[in-house]
Order: sequence, then structure tokens, then C-alpha cells
Amino acid sequence: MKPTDTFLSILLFARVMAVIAGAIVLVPQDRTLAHDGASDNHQGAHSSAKPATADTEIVVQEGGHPILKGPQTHGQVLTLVAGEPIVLALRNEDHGPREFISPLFTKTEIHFLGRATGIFRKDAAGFRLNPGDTLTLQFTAPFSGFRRMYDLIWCGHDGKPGSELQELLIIMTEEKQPHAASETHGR
Amino acid sequence: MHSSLVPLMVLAMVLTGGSRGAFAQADAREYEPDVILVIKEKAFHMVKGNTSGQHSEHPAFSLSSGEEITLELRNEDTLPHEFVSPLFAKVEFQFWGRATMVYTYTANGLRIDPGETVGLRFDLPKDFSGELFKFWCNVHGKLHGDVLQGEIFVVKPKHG
Repeated sequence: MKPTDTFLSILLFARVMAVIAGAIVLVPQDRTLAHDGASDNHQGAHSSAKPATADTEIVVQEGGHPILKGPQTHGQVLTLVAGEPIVLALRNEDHGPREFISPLFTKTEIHFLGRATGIFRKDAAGFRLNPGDTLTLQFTAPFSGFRRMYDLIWCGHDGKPGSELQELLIIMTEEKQPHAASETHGR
Repeated sequence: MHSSLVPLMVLAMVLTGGSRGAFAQADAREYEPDVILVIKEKAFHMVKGNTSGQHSEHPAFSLSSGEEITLELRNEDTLPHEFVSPLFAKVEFQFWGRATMVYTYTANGLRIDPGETVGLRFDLPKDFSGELFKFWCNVHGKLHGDVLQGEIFVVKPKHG
């Protein structure tokens, strides 16, 4: 093979790879799953669909207590800002089903991606996840009219609301910073 | 020159074919629905399921009490629509897919964006036999004359 042929082959290979890489980068993966192929799509119904990237995670590990992960967390407290969106992933890495129930989930619209059982109570709502399942929630932190509002998340076992202190997480929803608030009120 | 292109073509085919294969795998349905409801042109359409056998101006289907039911909802309309029923205030339901929770004191369900498909699975208690549950879209099915509503009849199972 001539050196010019080798050079052209490498150039062609690079172009093919660039086109493939470009296609992968430009098309968001979850959109591809949701709309790839014919209109008769069933993809949205699968837990394998890619969730939005979670800002925060609540992970329940093997027989243990729930762990909060993410920049807005401090120990057992998750801090939200009223009016701002958050993506929260619930992950059950325990052996049995685990529940994530909170009054907060009744105060705002909860968009979800994944698989769970809905739990609807008079003053709280939540989700029961089977072992190994992840549910990604997307919602806007609700306004309460108070500077700070506290809500609990009970991370109990199946059918048993989390009553032990270690099974409780706290969500603190704060008002926006004063300058943002003054802009909102126009004064 | 041509011989040097062959491996490149094969590589490109493997790469593109490989990614298609992964998507095709994700397409495989993990469940077999008892009922499939498609939302299209602001109306529910029953694609699969047992018709209730009773006269109804809206889509109506029957479900057997004492059984586990799998229901698939597809929104093939251009607007988000809801599937809400008092039934889901009485029984817990498992869901999978992408949607929004709809929560009221008397009826619960899901809001589904255009193009999305959601699965629901729930157990119908035996003592629900003979009951009728309505379902509707809160946005386009609550008022008299709206077509985005339907009925679920709970019947005794044929085998017992």
C-alpha cells in the first residue's frame, strides 16, 4: 500500500468516527430512546430509559439508613430554594422494598421517570421502590409563605412508615435570596 | 485502495449496528398488558382489552376482580393528557415510564406527555366485583360533553 493510500485511509477513518461521535453527542440519549423508530413506541414505559441527571440522590443501602448525596445536602438535611427546580433520584439498594413518603410531594407537581408504586395518603404522598430500582423525580420546590419550611421524608420499609429517627430525612425549603425577592415584588 | 476501505466500512457498520442493537433491546416490552389505551385526537381508544358489553358512549372495558391487571397508556396526541380514576384512590398501583403524578382527594392517576408510554400494574380486590369506576382527563374530560373519559367495569372472573 502506498503511503498516500495509508494517509487517505486514516483520514477517511477519522471522518467516519467524527460523524458517528457527532451523532452520538448531538442526539440526547433519552430523546433517542423515546422517539427512535416507528410511532408505535413503547420505550417510555421501560425503566431502562435514561433519567435526567440528578442533582441529589437518596440512597437506601443494604439494611441501612437513607443517605443523602449532592451539593445541596448536609447530613440528613436537603436544602431547596422555593420556586427552583430540582432533580432528585431515589435509589433502593436494600434487599426489600423501601418507601419514600413526604408531605412535600403533595405540594408540587412531581414528574417522574422510572418504576415505583405510588403511595397516596391524606397529607402525604410517596413511592415504594423494589430492590434495585431507581426513580428520578423532577419538581419545583413549592412556596410556603414562610422564610423556611421543613418537611420530612419517611424512608420506611414496605408498609411500615419510617418512624425511627435514622429513617427520617429533612427537606428545608428556603425563600429566595432577599435581592431576588425584592425583584419579584418590584419594590 | 479499495481493500483498505473494507475494514473501515465493516468497523462503521459494526459501530452503527451495535448502537441500533442496543436501542432495539431497549424496545423489547418487559410485560404483556391486559389493556392498552391510546390517547389520540383528544379521546381514549381501547386497542386491547375486554369491552364491557354494556352500552356506553365512552370507551369502556371490563377487568376481573381478584386479578393482577397490567394497563398500558400511550399518548399519541399532541398535548399532555391525564388518566385519572377514583379506582386509584382505592388501590395502590405500580407505574413505570415517564409521567407526572396526579393527586386529588377523590381520584389519582398520571399525566402523560405526547409520545410517552406508561405502564400501570395493580391488584383488583375480589370485593370490587360489580363496581363501576370512571376515568378521565382532568384537562379535557371533566365537563359534560367532553370525550376524554371512559369507564371500567369490574366483573367476576370467568373461572371462578
